[in-house]
Amino acid sequence: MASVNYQALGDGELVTLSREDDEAFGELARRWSGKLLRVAGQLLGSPEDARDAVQEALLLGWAKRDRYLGTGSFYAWLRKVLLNVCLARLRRPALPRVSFEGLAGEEGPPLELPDLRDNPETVVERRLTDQEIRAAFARLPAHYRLPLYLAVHESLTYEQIASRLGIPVGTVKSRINMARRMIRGAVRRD
Amino acid sequence: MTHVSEERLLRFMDGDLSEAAAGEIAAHLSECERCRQVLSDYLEIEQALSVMPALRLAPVESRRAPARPRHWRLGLVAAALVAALGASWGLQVAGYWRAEQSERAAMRRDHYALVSAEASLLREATPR
Repeated sequence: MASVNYQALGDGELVTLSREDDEAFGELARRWSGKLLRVAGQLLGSPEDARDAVQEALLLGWAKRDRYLGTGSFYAWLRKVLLNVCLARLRRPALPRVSFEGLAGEEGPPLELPDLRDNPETVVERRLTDQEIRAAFARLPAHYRLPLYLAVHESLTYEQIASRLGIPVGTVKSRINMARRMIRGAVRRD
Repeated sequence: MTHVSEERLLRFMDGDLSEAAAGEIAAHLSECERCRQVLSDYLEIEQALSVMPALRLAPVESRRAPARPRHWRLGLVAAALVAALGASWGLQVAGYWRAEQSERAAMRRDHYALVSAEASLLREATPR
């Protein structure tokens, strides 16, 4: 099999390739981990916590990579996964740890691993239900709904959406943000 | 504590701020539960929409552009007002008329852009 020049491939191609080839996702991780670390560092403060959060976000990103459907920025998608992870960590500063002390045949200090009995997918407590959110989305006027759909579901960039819809980038941004605010206004609990 | 506006939180979520501005918001988020909750809501909305089934788009042929404005009606009103009240009222109505034309033209452009985009999405979603 011919060797693959991963660095020459775009994010979308690497995501597709990563279904059969872990090295393709490794290239995505190398490509974006620096920027992700800066984001996590800003939010969490400590470099160790930032590294842990990026690692968790990359694992989640790998597990959920099929959800990235678009031709837009994979980094933007991964960044949102990371923000979720960081918010969960800020809400629950220290995950309980379990000790592997006393395992037969082990020497040296006890190995401690995070207790991931909570599935990473459920670490973030959710307030809003998907059904309510989608119902609110469906009620949006079309000129708000479509830009938001293209941004979130198709992962298109603002520029791609502007070109697709033939409207200015500023209009795309304002419509997307207005659509998000309308949805939150319809479903928020407080 | 002054909270971050939703607009800026959304721009932070999208990575649409300078490194320095993002750093300020991140520092605030690390201390403010209320702003974290707002951001968390928006992330939940993103997540829910990102995994919803693809939109089923109606065929383009079934969609109609908004009706063209009835120019003559406003023209008649303007003429009647000019006759009854003088030129200044007529000019005011003419101003409203131009503003309405401009707004309707923008709505038609948006509509055609939407139809074109949805048609393009529909073509992509249709198996060949």
